[in-house]
Amino acid sequence: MRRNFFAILTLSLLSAVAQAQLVDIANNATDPNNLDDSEPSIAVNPLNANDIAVVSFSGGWSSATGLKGPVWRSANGGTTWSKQLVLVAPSPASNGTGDQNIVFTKSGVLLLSELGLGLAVPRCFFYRPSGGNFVAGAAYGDDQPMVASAGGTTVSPWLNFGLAPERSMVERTPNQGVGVAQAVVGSAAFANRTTRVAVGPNNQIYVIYKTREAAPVGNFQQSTFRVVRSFDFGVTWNTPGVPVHPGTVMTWFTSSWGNAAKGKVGRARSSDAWIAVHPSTNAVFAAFCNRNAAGRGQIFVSRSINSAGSFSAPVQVSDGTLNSAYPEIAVAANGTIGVLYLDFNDSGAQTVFTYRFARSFDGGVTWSRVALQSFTTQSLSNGNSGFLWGDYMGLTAVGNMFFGVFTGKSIGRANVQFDPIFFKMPG
Amino acid sequence: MHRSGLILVAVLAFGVMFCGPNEKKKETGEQAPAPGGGGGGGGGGAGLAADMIRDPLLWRPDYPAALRSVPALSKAGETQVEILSRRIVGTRKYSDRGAAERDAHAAEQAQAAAPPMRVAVGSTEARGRKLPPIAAIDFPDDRSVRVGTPDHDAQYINVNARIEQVEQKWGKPEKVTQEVLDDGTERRPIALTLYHYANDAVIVVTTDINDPHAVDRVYLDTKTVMQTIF
Repeated sequence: MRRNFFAILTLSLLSAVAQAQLVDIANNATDPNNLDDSEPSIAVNPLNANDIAVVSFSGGWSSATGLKGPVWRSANGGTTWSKQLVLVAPSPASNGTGDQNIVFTKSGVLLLSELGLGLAVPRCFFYRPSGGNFVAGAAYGDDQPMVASAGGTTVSPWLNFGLAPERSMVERTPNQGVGVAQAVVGSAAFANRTTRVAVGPNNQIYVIYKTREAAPVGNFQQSTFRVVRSFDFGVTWNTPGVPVHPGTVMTWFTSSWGNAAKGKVGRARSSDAWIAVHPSTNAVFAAFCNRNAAGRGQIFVSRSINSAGSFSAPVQVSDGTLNSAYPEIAVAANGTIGVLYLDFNDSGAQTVFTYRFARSFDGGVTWSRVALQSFTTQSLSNGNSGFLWGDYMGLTAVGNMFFGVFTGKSIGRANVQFDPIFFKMPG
Repeated sequence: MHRSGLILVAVLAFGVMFCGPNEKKKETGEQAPAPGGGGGGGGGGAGLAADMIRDPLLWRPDYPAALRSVPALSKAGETQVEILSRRIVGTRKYSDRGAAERDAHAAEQAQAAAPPMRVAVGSTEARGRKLPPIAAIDFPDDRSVRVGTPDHDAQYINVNARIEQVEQKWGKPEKVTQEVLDDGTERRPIALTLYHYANDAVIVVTTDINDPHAVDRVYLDTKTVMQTIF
């Protein structure tokens, strides 16, 4: 009996690992300068799940030289990738992207949000297809522009450092960025950060953000994660929204995520929340970080079944033994919930970072976790300490399949380095 | 505080970057002295600096006009200037915008009476091109307040120049350091690699944004420019 149990357990684990098909998006030909390809985002065409797009920090743009910025594309479900230089510089003053995000509309049109390096505020742009390339719309916003599609409206949450305290905003456009309008969505009571977006089946727009409610203590800060919603394509919002957890949490706010004595470190100041919506039931799922009794940052998920009117008691996703952050969440068509996150183990001589993918097949009550990839930063030739993989990874779902991307250890390259690593897992 | 820049220097000679984000500047791997080595502001390095300051490899047609603003920026207290593709700025970061505006005003007045070049750089026409007014600007790379020109339609840096070409022509840099520009927001930091020549009189800079071998900007020591060009 016991032997059977372990056999089944082993088979289950092997099956789970086998299902994680890791593909290095970059190679020597497409990444000859060994860039760190950090902070990736992913979008999958809802009309053709073989059509996948990823952006990462994998090259700049220049009006002076005519260089266009890159979008990684796969036409075969992520098996092979090409680097398409299609992002036209938004301004002669800009030499590359400083933040970005990517989405497909329901009709299969690829759109992006980009922050132009070298530009003063406003420095963000919606990007839309144009003649085989993508071009910038009107300038808006300041920091960390996200992007989502709600019917004919495209929205872009961003963080406004020009207000005191810093505030979460949402830009909207009915014409893919040609004209833009904005709304303040975050609470004015405290500084905001980590502004992320998801869209429901009937174009309900949900934005999660945090209010930073005390000075950081060590690597953590007392905060509240809230969700605001708009039922009119981003024109009006129920600011400041509702909390997704009881009381306050102690979430990450650090420029030294990891152990600086045992390897390079990342930053985790806005790497602690994500939001997703069930594609048919409109149930809203919020993933966020909170410190446990042992002092370790953990991943939690709470759910709303009343259009973010209120949220259920949070359920812990990570296993409690390691510091965890960078949650991204998505919901498959069959209701399976997926969470991608990163943890680290600094009990040895070098810090070991591990990307994990957790799934819940019962609406978020219980979770099973699979390790996707582990590495030490000492084993990688690139990556700037204090940033490394960036502020977030990418995760989405189309049909019953999850599609993800993270900045991890290259696969099959002689120069072992940070690369964008693609995976897909069934829901 | 969030607008303060973050400086991080790492040892490139060993290909290792292994320091926390709050670590301050460290000296890095020393490399072979540049040809004609010695000092930038004085000594034998002045010759190298003068040659590099005039080297067409690094520059584009509008550069002589930018160079003509160095005496004004020097008079405003700048000891080093950054020449970028489309602007020239001092490296001092002001915490008081009013002070920056006062210095910018002083620089603008000095610009009106800029001295002639003792050593000609570029054509007469290029030297005579008009610069935008020197002002207190928000430098987008780190959101610091600086004194310099706003972004404008110009070509100062040869963006096709590669560091290998610089090294082939002027030898290995005296040292190579790194600097990370963080603007205090959650924007991606910009990692600069600095190739120091002529005792820091000329520092050729590349970034990790696209091609890490392409020249992105050049830092010039204003005293050296004054001594060798004006």
